Amino acid sequence: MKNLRLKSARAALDMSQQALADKVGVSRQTINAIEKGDYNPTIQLCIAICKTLNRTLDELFWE
Amino acid sequence: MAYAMGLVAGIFFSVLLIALCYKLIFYNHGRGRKGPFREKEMYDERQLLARGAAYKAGYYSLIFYLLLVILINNADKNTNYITDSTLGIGICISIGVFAVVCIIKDAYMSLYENAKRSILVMLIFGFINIGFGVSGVLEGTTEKQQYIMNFTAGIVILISCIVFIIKRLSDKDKEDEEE
Repeated sequence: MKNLRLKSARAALDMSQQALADKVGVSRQTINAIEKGDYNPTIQLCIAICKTLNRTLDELFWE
Repeated sequence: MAYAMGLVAGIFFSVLLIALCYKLIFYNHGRGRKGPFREKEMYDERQLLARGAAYKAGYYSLIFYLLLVILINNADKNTNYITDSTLGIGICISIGVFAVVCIIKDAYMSLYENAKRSILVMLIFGFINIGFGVSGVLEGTTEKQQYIMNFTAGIVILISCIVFIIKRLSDKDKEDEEE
């Protein structure tokens, strides 16, 4: 299932996938896979993404 | 004595060449990180999972190849097919399968690798191996087996390089669409 909330949170900060990937320490393809719903990240990665985008886990990853 | 010295010298220069290629590929252009050696820090979690799947694909491709060689060897009693070159070809094919699966799943390039340099190294080694292979086979030397292995290794490296280039080009198009 696509993670549109992550995409919109990233877009709200005017951040590219590559920029978010660099800050979080993963590849751009991983961020793309998470947004497309092709990959379920570990909790550590979820927390790192939330901290970077200044959002909570519920806001970005809870269904 | 001379053979042993030659062997030691060959191993020494091979290690030196590999270290040089590693430095060339993993040289960091001011990303603020020192290139780590451990695999876990070089690849992110998704890439590690994908590489695990690629290792499995390479492993099973080698198993199936060896089974095929055994079957053919048993079917034809007059010729021995289990030679150094046939086993070496199997290893080359399994490594090639691993590389291609990694490339397709975006798990070939680590976080610190330079793609252009990787492609350059692949092209250089691919053509060197093909050159050795073709020249050896054409000369009709008695050591044909190792030249066949060189040729196969060269082909596998070039196929991996072509798949890598196609993947990079298609990723660039997708990147523009997604942003």
